[in-house]
Amino acid sequence: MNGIGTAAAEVAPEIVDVRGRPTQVLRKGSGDPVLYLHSATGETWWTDFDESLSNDHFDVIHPAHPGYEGSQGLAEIEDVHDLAFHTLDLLDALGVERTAVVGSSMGGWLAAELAVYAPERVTKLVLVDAAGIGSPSVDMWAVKPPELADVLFGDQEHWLAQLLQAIDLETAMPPAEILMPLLQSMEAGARIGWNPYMQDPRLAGRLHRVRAPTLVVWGERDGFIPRAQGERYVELIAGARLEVIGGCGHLPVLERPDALATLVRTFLRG
Amino acid sequence: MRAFMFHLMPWPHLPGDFEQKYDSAWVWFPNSFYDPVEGHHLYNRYLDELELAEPLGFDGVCVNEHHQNAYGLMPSPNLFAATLARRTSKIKIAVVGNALPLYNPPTRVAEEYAIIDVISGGRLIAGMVVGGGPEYYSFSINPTQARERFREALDLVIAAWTRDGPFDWSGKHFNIRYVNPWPRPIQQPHPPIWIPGVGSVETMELVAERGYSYMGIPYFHIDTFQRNYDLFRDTAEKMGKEVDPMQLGWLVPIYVADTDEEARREYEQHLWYFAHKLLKGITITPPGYTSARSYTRIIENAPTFMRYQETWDQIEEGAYAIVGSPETVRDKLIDHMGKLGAGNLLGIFQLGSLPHDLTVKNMTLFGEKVLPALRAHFGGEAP
Repeated sequence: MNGIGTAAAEVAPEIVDVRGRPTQVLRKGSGDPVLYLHSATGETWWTDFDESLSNDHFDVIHPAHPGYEGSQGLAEIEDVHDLAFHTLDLLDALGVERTAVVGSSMGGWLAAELAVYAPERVTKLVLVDAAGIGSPSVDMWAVKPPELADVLFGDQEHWLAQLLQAIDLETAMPPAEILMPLLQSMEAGARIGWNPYMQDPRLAGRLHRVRAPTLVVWGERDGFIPRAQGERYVELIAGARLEVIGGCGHLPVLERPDALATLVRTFLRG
Repeated sequence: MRAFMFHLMPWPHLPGDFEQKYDSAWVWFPNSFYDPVEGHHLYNRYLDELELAEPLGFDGVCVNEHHQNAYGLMPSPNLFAATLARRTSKIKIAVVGNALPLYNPPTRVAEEYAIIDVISGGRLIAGMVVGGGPEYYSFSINPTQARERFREALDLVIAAWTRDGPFDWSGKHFNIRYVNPWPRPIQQPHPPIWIPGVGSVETMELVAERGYSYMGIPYFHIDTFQRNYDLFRDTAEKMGKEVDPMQLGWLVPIYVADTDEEARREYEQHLWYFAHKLLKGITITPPGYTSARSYTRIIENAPTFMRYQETWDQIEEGAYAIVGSPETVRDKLIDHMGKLGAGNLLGIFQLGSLPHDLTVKNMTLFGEKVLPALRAHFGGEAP
């Protein structure tokens, strides 16, 4: 159950029943809980970022959203709000009352919604190249995969950038073991972010409800979601600040996991 | 059997370097290439061609719905059906169809179809379609909800026609306090329903169960039609239903000239314009529009899609178009329709950049020399 990525360590997935929706959860480490909410890309495997934090006294909880990897129940999820309530139900099912929340891209949007709906349950909030308050620069479901790689990655040598660069929808489709999880991720992401495109027009007017100390992290070379949207999050969430990871693209969790882990660790300890 | 004149109303003036410069004739192809003055000429020309179907003895005409593209310029097919309802008096008017998930509320479809049915005196065939992949980009409707919205909208339209109003509709996607459309259709309990499918058993079950008619998705190798129609009959049989040939429609480009050589000489360039330019981009499949498994099947079938054919032999071998002398076209149609078990021939008689004079010649030869032979073979009479 690794999706398209390679696990940083062997972590057996647990299937948690979230009000009838079987939900895949990876969890390792002891200490304060950190909930990681993945992007639309579907990094549902145990990442280097997860491994780094869990080795350093955090209890890292990494679920797959409905429709991703081993998680079911997408039919009951119509939008980001359903996904936020699903995630709260998941925390209930896990018996986690309060947790730090780190979200990437679509997962960052979800994290922000979560902190709006249930501010008392979020101890600290980290938004990484978060969607939610504006649309991405290109249509992720329309551009050719190589063009998507261009805007997503600072480092075009990254394995996922290389994978996308090699796809031609008419002549060079990836093998089924890559294609099926990609299609699954695209469908589950579209369910949440098709229209409005990866944003909730009402979120900005609700962000004053966030109470948790908030760190906004952006890849310096994120060509997918402009950094201006990160700056907007900082404006709208009281006390939030922005950190930029040099040379990195839209997905620091994949491109610069150590740099991201260092920033997050420092922030969570601070 | 019944023969229909299916018009797509294409834009025939794509630039010569279109294939090099543009990825698609759909959704994003700039509308600055649309010339409204030429459009005036074209719409009237295309409507003339449709209207000609009646004096030539066709059983009906077909129009359909696509948005933001050069392939077919009928974003609102009901407008064309309405004018055809006035300009014809005997033939069926098949709208195949209205893309139900794009209408909100879908009772709009119940209203407009009823208008066409009433004006035409009960000549409407009501096509209900999910809409093509490109439509979900053009309308920003969530493609992961396409099937669900289609099913609910279909039930709502049928209810609007068959239940006494006013009634309340509380659904998942549509909530309407007072469903009570005026007018109601003249055909009772409602106009015949046609639904196209790409081969999913689910759609076939719906069509078979309710006694609607099924159309295969066009522009694939004839073997794909055969597989789908055989599967449709098997599906119906399992449900204890027998399929009448009139429940199956075969959509295919047709061109008739005096000889096989003349037909190819006059037609080939216009067919390639259609296959290589207008079909470019039609297959874009938004996420969740079909299941991942269906999508991989579509990818596997892709090489047999008309757009990827390069030689005339491929066109002939796969029956992507039926082209030739009246005798050749007659023999091929009798052969294929017999094997397919399809009673409705939905012929595209104007394809791609085919000009007006050749379209009229084509239709005339078909009406005079092919259609009577098909009727003699399969049964059927001119309306």
